[in-house]
Amino acid sequence: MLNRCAPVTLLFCLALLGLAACTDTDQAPTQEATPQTLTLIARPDPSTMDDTVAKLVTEAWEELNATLGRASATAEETANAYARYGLTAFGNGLSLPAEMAFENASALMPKDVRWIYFLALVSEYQGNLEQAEQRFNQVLSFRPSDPPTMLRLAKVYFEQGRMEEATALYEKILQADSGSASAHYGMGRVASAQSNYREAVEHFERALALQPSADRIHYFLGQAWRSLNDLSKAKFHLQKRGTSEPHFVDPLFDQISGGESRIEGLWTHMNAGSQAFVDGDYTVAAEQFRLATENLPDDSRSWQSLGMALNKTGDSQGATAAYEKALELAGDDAVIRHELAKLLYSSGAHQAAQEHLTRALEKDPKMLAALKTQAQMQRATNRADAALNTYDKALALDPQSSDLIIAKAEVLLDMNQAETAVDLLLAANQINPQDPDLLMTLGLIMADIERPADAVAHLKQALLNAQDDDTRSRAHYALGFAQQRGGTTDAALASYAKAIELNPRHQAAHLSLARTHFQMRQLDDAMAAYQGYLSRWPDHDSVVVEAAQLSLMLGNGRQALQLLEARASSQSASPRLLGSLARLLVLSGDSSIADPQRALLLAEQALIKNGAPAHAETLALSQAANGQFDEAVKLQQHILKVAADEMPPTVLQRVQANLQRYQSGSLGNLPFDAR
Amino acid sequence: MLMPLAGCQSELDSNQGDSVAGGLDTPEQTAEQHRPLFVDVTQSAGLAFAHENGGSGRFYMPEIMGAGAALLDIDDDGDLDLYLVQGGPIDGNLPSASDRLYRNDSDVKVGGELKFTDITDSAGIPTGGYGMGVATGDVDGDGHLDLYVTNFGPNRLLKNQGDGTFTDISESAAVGDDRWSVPAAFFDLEGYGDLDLYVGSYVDFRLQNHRDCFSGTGLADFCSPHSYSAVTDRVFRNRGNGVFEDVSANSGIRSVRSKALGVITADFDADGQTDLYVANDGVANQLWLNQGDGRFAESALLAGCALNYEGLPEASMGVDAADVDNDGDEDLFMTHLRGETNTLYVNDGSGNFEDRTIRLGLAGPSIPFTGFGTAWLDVENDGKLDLLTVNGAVTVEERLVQQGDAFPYHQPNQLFRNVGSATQFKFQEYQSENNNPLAASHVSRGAAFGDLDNDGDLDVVITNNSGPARILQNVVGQDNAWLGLRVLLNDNGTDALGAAVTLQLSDGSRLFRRVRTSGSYVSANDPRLLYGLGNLDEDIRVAAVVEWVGGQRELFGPLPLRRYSDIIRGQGRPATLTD
Repeated sequence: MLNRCAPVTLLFCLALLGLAACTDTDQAPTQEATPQTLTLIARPDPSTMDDTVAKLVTEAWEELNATLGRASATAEETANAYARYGLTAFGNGLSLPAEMAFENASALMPKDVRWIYFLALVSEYQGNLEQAEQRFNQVLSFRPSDPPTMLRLAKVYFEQGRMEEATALYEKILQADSGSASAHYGMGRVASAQSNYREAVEHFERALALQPSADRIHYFLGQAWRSLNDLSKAKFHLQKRGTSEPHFVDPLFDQISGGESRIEGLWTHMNAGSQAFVDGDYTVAAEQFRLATENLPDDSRSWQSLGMALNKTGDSQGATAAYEKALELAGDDAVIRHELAKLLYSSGAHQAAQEHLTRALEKDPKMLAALKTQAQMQRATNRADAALNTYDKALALDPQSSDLIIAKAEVLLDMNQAETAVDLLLAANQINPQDPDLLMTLGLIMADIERPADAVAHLKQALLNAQDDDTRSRAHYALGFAQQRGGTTDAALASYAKAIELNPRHQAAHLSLARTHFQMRQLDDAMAAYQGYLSRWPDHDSVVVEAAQLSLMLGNGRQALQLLEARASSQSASPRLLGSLARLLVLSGDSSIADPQRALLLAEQALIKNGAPAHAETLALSQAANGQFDEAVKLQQHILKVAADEMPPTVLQRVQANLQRYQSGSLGNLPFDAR
Repeated sequence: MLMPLAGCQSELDSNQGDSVAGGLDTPEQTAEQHRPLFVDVTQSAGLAFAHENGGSGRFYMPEIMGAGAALLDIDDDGDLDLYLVQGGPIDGNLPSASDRLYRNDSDVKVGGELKFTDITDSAGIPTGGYGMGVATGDVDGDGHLDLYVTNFGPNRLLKNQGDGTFTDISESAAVGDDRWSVPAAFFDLEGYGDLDLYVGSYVDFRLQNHRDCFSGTGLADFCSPHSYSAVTDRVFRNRGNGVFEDVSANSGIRSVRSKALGVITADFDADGQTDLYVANDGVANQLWLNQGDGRFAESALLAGCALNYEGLPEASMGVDAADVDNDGDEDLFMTHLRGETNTLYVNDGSGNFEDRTIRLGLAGPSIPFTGFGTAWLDVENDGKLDLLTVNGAVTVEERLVQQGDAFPYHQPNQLFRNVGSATQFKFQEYQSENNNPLAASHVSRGAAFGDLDNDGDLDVVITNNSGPARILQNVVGQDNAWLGLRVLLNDNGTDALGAAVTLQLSDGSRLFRRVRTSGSYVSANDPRLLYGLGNLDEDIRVAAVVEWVGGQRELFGPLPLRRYSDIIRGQGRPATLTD
């Protein structure tokens, strides 16, 4: 309980001075409060809080003290000073002194409902629902239709199981504002709790329509549909669930959450950032973590989190700086070093990455994630022996990890030890015979080393063991690969199609389906498959070129042009695509397609992006098509001079033949997809 | 009176608006509510165990999480002995402490006082290890309950030799796990009659990756689980000879990373197979439905028991399952962090759950506390399940810091009495301050439930972090009629963990219980079943229908009141579907 009428200390005396010149009479110091109704607020004990918080709270207390010591301070000024201290204390996790301060403010200015509202929020924070209810009701006696107060009180009723009272408040809010997403959400919660699921669905859907960003509603919709036995809708909404509730305007609450608290602010931003990160909204996460670092610049966690979020947004420079700051603050922290190492490695700073990784593993030799990264880096830098050694260390820590066993098998494949990889996987399969990933890897390697029958057997077992559509899709894809290797192409096509049916976003299955149809000269089916692919991944230029080439084979130059043009204007268009389009514009016999001038521009762009001889050839071709034979000859001679030694004989013959054509003032010839 | 089996859904529904406050009580009711239910007999029973958390000053996370207790009859003398898990210095710089084993030397058959004797040394309990929890089960079918002790570090399987001594067989049984394990439970995965083992791991905390964390006011404090990565749990399959194999991957358990602190075994979807419910700290809980082929399917989200009524994961610690609403299936209850409610998920019989914590009045009173060990128990043997939770914070309590408390984490424990009628459920917090040992404030963690004095009611052993273990003796349950069962798989005396037993009374009422030792938090309970029967007509006839793991059913009875009876698989009569 609160310490009322405590012994008079200097502060208390000053408080009275501030209110009534420290008289010893019973006269009330203000129009409302008497000394006896005010609570002594002790000076904060800095030993119970860290330096930052102690400084903030002590400064606020001293400010309060100064107001109390000012004889001319009015009751309103004194109440405001108490409230300011209360806000600072509450914002820094000190709910008890905050409660005392708000009570004093309220005692001094009992008609100012702000203090009662803050007291209600304190009660809610402390889990004292009965007191919160009483205080929110007190606010409503002043402001009978205040929406935030009604919403908060309704939630308190709901949490006490008092559904009728909660409903009455939500209905009152909706009468005044039928567009209150929070009230519809509350009504839905009450209806769900009363097993009125149809009504709940109506309210939840209305709330979601009003505030689509309030994705936590999906969870409740999912549960309501499940109770109504519509599992399809239930699964749909449960998959879309998030954590954001409908937002409502609450200026007083914002004074606390956005007030003078730094610790509380840190937590608010860290929580919001973490949630955004989990939801995949990395830009929002980075912004929240940045706000957290501003609140407490010396907190390593917020810098580390900022680094993770920035890394996800692609800002590797910002992420590196954030990790380095986190490391500086946290000292020799293995987790941060590991994160930084991964980032540096992906940015190309391999040596710095290795240094951090080494130190992370010195600090924590059993850090499995760091060992995996170490092995991956060793493998990527062609140090297969070292990678094997590192995977062995990791496997000593987690001997049954399928991920590690598969990764080790892949290293063995790099070393042309496919049979050893198969043995390793077979041994692992003895221990984990049900693991579909192990079986899939085994099947793929066996298919690759021309054991298609064994491969298919393992992959069919993987299919049987797969427990979800994603895994089944991957198993069908691998089976298709093995079947194709085994020469049963029709079966392979069926497997790829099944993989896509189970997971329409299985990129490799789409591509394999298209290419296999192409190989089987089922050109219309191949085109349909390519179109299916490009409708999902339109930026994959090499596939665009393949599809354009197929269009040409089908005699549809206009379609080829459209496919290439759709990508050519993009900044990220690849030189291969630009070159292909240039060649089409030069070589097409269709006058409505041919455009040598544009081809020249495109060929130049391709060559600027990539100086490969093939792009120079395309430029020479375009120059010749524009009558610039001298330039074409010079360029073709230059190509021969610098690259002839590395050219395959057929390419060398082509370059020499084109040179002769340009020298004789004729147009050259290049295949559409010259590389 | 007992609740009738049918119609309980509507009974729960009819409770809308009934809160814990529940209106004014008569003086008689008030007196009834405030009479002592438990007496703290720790001292008189000779139990002098104090948990040591190591107190390194570094706020290593395991220091605030332990430790548990087990109640089991180690020497087949018919009374429950006590195993208490110890912590000690965590960083290995000082000699390790040892878990302790106490033999029940009470002469309870003649109403004598409880008396325990420390037999740790003679029993061969090994030293070393930073203890967390304990599970019990007869791994080799010899009729003696063995112990699986979870540690921050290598776990241990201690085989009960049947003569009061134990042997560490962790290595030969191949059940080692040197990560930070917390909950564990023995259960019959495939219905073969031998016990398999689930081991839950908490987070990827090691001394090397320890992080500094702070309280709301910036004081050094214990980290939340969000500071560390989630890890996978493990399932070990018993090959039938007490030697296990790790089937975590094949069973599907390994497919999810989580932060396990509690586990309970039951058949939630009524398919005859034992399922697992895992209570996780700060991330969604898991319902692993046993597919009957050695694999599990994780179904919690769709089943409605992954997230609470707010659609959010909670910091689940302890967990228990029981047929709270007497409709023949098991409902779930779990304890949570301060600021969250404890949560009751009610089962609709098919494995679909609904959070009805608020409607049954269990939400509000739990918000200020961080709950750990818990169980549904019929304190007064009136046929209605009450609920006990033991509490203790994991981060500093602001109020206690302001008071200068040296270990500002302690909180009182709570008992919620089921004070409803046959037609209306209602829970009310028992708040007597007269001789109420539950009101004592400790940093409670484990709670093991069992009938220590064999008088037909459940007593409780509560473990406290950095504090004494306490024995709370139930002093009221024996006044009502009761019936006790030991449900066995064979003549050796192997407890039939997982078997479900429905007691049928000749007045048409039924009571459902399941044989298990798992549940609560890091603790193992008495495997025997107790049924409170109220002030029953003593002439009433009672039979029991047992559904063994796998689905076979047998009928036993008539059974005598006010005593424990053994019922052994194969010695009953075939039960019909109407039994």
